[in-house]
Formats: sequence, structure tokens, C-alpha cells
Amino acid sequence: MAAALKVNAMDTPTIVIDGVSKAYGATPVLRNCSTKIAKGEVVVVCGPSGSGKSTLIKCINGLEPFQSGSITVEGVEVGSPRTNLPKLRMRIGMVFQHFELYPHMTALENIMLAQVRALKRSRAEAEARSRSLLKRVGLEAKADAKPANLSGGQQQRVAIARALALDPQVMLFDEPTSALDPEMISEVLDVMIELAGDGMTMAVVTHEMGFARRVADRVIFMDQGCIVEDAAKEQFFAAPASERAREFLSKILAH
Amino acid sequence: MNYTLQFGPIWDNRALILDGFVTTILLSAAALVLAILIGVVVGTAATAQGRTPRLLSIAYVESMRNIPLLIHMYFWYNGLAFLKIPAFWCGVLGLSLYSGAYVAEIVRSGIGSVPRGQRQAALASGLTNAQAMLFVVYPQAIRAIIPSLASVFSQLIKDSSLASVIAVADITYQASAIEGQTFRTFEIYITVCLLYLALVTLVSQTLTILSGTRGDGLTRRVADA
Repeated sequence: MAAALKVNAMDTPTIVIDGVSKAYGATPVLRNCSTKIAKGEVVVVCGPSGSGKSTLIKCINGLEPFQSGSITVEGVEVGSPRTNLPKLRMRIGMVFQHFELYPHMTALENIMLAQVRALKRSRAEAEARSRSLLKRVGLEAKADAKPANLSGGQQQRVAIARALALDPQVMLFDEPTSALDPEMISEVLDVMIELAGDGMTMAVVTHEMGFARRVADRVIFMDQGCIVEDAAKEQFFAAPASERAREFLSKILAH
Repeated sequence: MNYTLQFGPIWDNRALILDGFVTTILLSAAALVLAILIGVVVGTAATAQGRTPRLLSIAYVESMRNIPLLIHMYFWYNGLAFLKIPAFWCGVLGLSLYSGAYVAEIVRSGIGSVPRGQRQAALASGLTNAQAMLFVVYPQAIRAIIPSLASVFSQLIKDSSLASVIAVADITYQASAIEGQTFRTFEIYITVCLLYLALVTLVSQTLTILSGTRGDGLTRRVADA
């Protein structure tokens, strides 16, 4: 039955990336990338550093402009000058490698800011929502703590709560555990696994292949700005089609 | 050297001195407010994505900084005499346009000191560009730039004395008038020195204290990184 649901959902992809290319001057960073992400799907994007995976994911919410091709999120054209980007971004949560919590605000204020200023929720409503999200990521006691007084893992969990506060349709994760000490990685991954279990549509740039094996539906492998492989998880791990992906996997799984 | 100090004539002119001191404060305060406005707009433009605002910003800073303040004063008062701008406001204009260029450079570096990802995170959450600057970038930038701002502000107060050449009746202007009447040159200028010293020290110390007690979040973040 789950499979049937997924096939249905595939008919109306949440994110459509079609022939996207981008260059910094003469240096290409994305070359003709195309893929689709269906509602409720969890897609892991991996590849060597400099392969363009972070750039690709930042193109989805328009943080990085691209020169050709198109990206639509729920039918809205990201690259169009007529698109109201702030409005579109409210439906797309994003979590960054370096957390990017606002250091001059408490955890609670971090989660409240966009709810009040972008979504125009009342302060009371925003605070209630923020506290329940802090509880969900296990940090209700840290509401009044400044980011500097939180561990890396706690900061990233607050950052996830901040992204969820706008009730996004899609969550983008840009190497969410790369800047964490090893013992803190699992507390962040646990939150993400729970989120995937709740049916959130997720695009995750990560090297955590354990996470990919456990919750991903599909794995995209990128190299030198190209999507080299875009396959169902089982297929990707069992028999990657390209030599480059095989090499990458053997390196990343060996240690 | 048989000079006898006589502060009596200075005391007799205390009303003029006070009047000049108040004018100096008003002139500096008005110029300060305008310089901050100019500095924030021009300094922010310097960090914009587009080429045009960046070029305009550079053009402003370079042209305003590289003209002597004395010429700014003459230009607004004498050069544009047909506009009939009151001397006080010519002084405010000259001072704020000139100091605004320095504030802009400081604001630019302050914005540059805030990690790029902070603005990205704010934008990603659906805030507009202006909201991202207002709620996320500026509050962090200001902590980093208060010491440099304090030095520009004290410079501005000292520079305001140049407005006396276009007949703004500030304390420098009054001092030279009193000097001409009483011939107590040393006494009047030592009085003026002390008044400037008190005013500049008050402003710069206030800002230093503000930055000392309110910079905790940022310094700790930097220390952690």
C-alpha cells in the first residue's frame, strides 16, 4: 500500500529541477542537473566536496541564483523574477552546516523571529509553537539559552526547530552533521529520522550513509557539478552504476 | 613673562560661552544623526549584490572623504549661497556628508564581519532582505563597530569647530569673538579646550561602556569558533 501511495504522489512532484546549470565566471559548478522530488520523499545527495551538492540544494530556495534551466517548488518557478521569494521560502525550511543560529537571540527568539516577522503570527502563538517545537527536539529547558551556551548538537536541533516553525512543505538539509563532534551526530540524525517518519519531504546533503540506508528513498550522487547517479536507495548501495560512485562509496564506507 | 591669569572677563561672558557650547552640541548632534543615516545607507549599499549600488557607494565615500572638510563648509555656505541655506544647516550638511563617508566605511566592515550564513539563514526563513538586515545582520554588526564609531563620533565633534568659519556661532566662534573683546586669549582658549575635552570624553566613554557590557554574545561566539 505504501508503494501505491508513493506512485500516486510521484504524479505531482514537490520539487522539479530541470536542466539547471550555474557557473562562477568561467568555472562551472552545476551542469545540466535534472531530478524530481515527490511529496513525502527523502532524497540524500552525496558526492565529493566541490561536486556542487550544496549549491544545488541552495538553488532550490533561491539562495543561489542559477543561469539556465528551471526549478519549481509546488509549481512555483524559483528563478522567475516575478516570484515572491520570501513567500516561497516560508514553505521551504532549511538547515545549515554551521547552524547559523542568531547569536544575539535566545533559542526561543531564534525560533520565533520568522514566525512573527515573515508569517505574521502573533507573539503568543509564535511562542507557543516555538516551545512545543523545542519540546519535540528535546530542548524545552534551553528556551532562554543563547546559542553560545549550547553544544553543537543542541544548536543544530534548535536550528531544525526554527526551520520547522513555519510549517514548511519541504525541508532542505545542507550537511547538517558535518560540523558536529562525532558524539553529537546521532542526536541530530534522530530528529531527522523522526521527521522523515512523519512524512516530511526532505532533501539532505550528507555523508552519513547510515542515515541514507535507513531513511532515504533515493540517493543522488554528484561529481563535478553533474548528477552522475540518481537511483533508489537499494540499487545505489547494492550496485552503483558509475565507476565514480563505486569509488566514492568504497572510500566513505571503508573508514 | 609676567602674564597674570584673569578669568574674570571669561566669567562675564559665560552666557556667550554657554550659548556657543549649546550650538556646538546641537550642530554635532544633528550632524551625527545625519551621518549615521548616510553611513548606514551607503555602507549597506557597499555590501549589495548588484554592481550599481556598490559603485555608487564607492563613488560617494571616495569623493566625500577626499575633499577637505573646510572646503565642504565653504562649498555649502559660499559656493551654494544662492540656495540661502542657513549657516547652521550648511555646517550640518558639510559635517554629515563628510563624516557619513567614514561611518559608511565602518558600517561596511561591520556588515562584512557578520558571517554570510547569518543573512542566508534569515532569507531562507522567509524574511525580506530589509528584515534580514534589520533583525539579524545590523544587531550583530553594531557590536563589532562601536569602538570605531566612537572614534568617528569624537572626530565629528572636534571637526564641528570648522563650522565657525562660515559664521555658525558655535563655541569656537564665540571664543574668537570673546578673545577679540577681552584680549584674554589664553584664558578663553583653555576654557574652550576643557569644554571640548569634556564633551568628547563623555561621548566616547559612553559608547565604550555600551560596547563593553553588550558585546558578550558576539565575543563568545568568536572565541568558540
